[in-house]
Amino acid sequence: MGAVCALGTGIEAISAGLRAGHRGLHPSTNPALPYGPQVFGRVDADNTALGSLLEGIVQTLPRSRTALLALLAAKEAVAGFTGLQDTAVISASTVGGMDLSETRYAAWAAGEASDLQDVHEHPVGSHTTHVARMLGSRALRTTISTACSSSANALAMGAELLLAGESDRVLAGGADALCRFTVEGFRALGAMDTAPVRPFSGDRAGMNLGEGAAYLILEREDDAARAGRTPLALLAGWCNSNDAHHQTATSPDGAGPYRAMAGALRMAGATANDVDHINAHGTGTDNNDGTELAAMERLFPVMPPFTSTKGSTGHTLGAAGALEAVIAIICMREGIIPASPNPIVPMAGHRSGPVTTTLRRPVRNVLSSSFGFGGNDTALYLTSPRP
Amino acid sequence: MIVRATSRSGITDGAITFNMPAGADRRMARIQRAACAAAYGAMSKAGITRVDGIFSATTLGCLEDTERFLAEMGAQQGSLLSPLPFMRSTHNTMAGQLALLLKAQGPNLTFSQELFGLHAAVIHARLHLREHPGDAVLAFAADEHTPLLSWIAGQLGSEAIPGEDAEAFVLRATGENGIARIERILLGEAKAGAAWWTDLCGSIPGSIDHTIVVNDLPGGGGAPRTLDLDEAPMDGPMGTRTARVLAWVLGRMQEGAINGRVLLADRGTDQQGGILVAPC
Repeated sequence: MGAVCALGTGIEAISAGLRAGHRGLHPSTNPALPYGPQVFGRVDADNTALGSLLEGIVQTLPRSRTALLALLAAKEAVAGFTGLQDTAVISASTVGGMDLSETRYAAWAAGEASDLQDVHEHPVGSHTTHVARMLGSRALRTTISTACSSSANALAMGAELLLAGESDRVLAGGADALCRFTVEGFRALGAMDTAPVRPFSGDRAGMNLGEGAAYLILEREDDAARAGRTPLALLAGWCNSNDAHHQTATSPDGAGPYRAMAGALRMAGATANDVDHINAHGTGTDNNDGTELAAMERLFPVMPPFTSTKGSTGHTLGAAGALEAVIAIICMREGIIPASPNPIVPMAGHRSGPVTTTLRRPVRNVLSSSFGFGGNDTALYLTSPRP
Repeated sequence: MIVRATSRSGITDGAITFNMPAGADRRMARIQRAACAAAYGAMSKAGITRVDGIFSATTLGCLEDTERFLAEMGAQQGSLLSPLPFMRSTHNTMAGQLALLLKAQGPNLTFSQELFGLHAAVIHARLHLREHPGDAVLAFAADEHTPLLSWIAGQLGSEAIPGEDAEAFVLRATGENGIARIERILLGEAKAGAAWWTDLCGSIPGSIDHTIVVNDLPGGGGAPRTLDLDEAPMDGPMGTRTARVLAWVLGRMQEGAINGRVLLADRGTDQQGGILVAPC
């Protein structure tokens, strides 16, 4: 697996950040954003620096930051693997090359044909092509775009292709760069906090946007064993269910999130008692955290320790599902449950709150949730590899 | 996997009427209305009122709202914008809207990869039907057109066929009353020159009775554009053209005008793909 986010570039840096309880969220006064300070989970490297990390590895360096982040994470994920020509690539993104298009739009709309080649990086699947080419993959490649659950769905599709015998190895994940389009969009929705995010706090005031990419190699368990590879984790269950309530908001009782979480556990043959830790969606918005906690409290008579790592990475949108799956595996490997931002105010009408100090204990089974616009709710259930 | 019904809806500025809850289309963009109309049409023809999964495809998504939001970002430096175009700018707006209208709580996925979103959507539909053989699911493709898209295509000297389209299919694992069987969906890296055609056809056992090249690179190579079904509708935006031609082939099969196996082939700059259909 490989990842890049505000906590660091690469699995080791992200692991160290989680162990130390670092927060990758910082106020930014980016002059490209025409208003006051906002808090972002920015990857601490400009596009030139990101590109230099890919020198000699890709033939054509993309100009879109989304694709640069994707290539970096995918490069780490496939390190040590050879013969990737038959590896399917299922990626995910919400905005694709919008980071580039939004800087060109005014000129293009005014009929100025400058930097027009950049339009080829606009489609949401453009970064997927860059990743597949880096691998030398000649197999199926596609891009899932279901808002903030996109890359959780990419992992699920990868697993389904393996189960059906349609692929023998899949690289699955997603990428999204910070861009003004999404900042303005969530700001217009009143969903952005100008202070560091406080998921599952009674005084939460919205999300902090982040950026990043994460990819995982998926194989069937018996194939990995035959090749002498010890898996990092098992993707034991997944479920995508639609809330069918509102285009951007979740139903008050979290019916869709409940079905997704319950469905992932059911598929794995697990019960609520088996779950050691929940990596919640936990965006910090009033609507998400209230409805998500309602669904969790209905599903879990005894609440497992839960956290929102968006307090460390920011909300990485289309990358979030895969990034949080990677973080779940880090938690298993390190035996930690990272702390959600602290202090928090208990949420009225709820009996549970997030973990606010980092716990050190064996973590075997993690439920990871990702919910998006369009009522798109997905949960993944990851377990430690069998001994 | 069988196709139970297909339906098309062009995108126009006029109202598209279809049997959905009153007032539900007030806040819908044109591309949403078209996708919903096509989906309702296909469901109506299939005689069903609910679906167990929605698998959608789009090449460029909700361009009109995306552009509107970009324009407002430029015009209103710093002030708060209307969130509606942003809410409707995500690629899964159409599939999400349909879930909302149909109260469809099953899987809901949107695919986008050059010309090949439809192929991935149908592959995922098949994965779902494999696990849930009693289900009925929707697959659809939708793309819209804007003046800016025309201008950019013109500047780049690429094919710019104005047109907008949504095309929907009701799919089941097996069953009575199917129009046709989708035998295979092929998807892989594009091969140069004539190799693409031998590569695509070579992976299909048995005879192929008709072939249609729906999209190919400028200059093409290796296969005639249309072998023997030259009346197939080749207009419409590139992203939904494969869906449109597929629906046309299925319609001709239903009339008995086409018998035998038909391969719809596409080659883009990145990938090549095929959809092999045969009468039930």
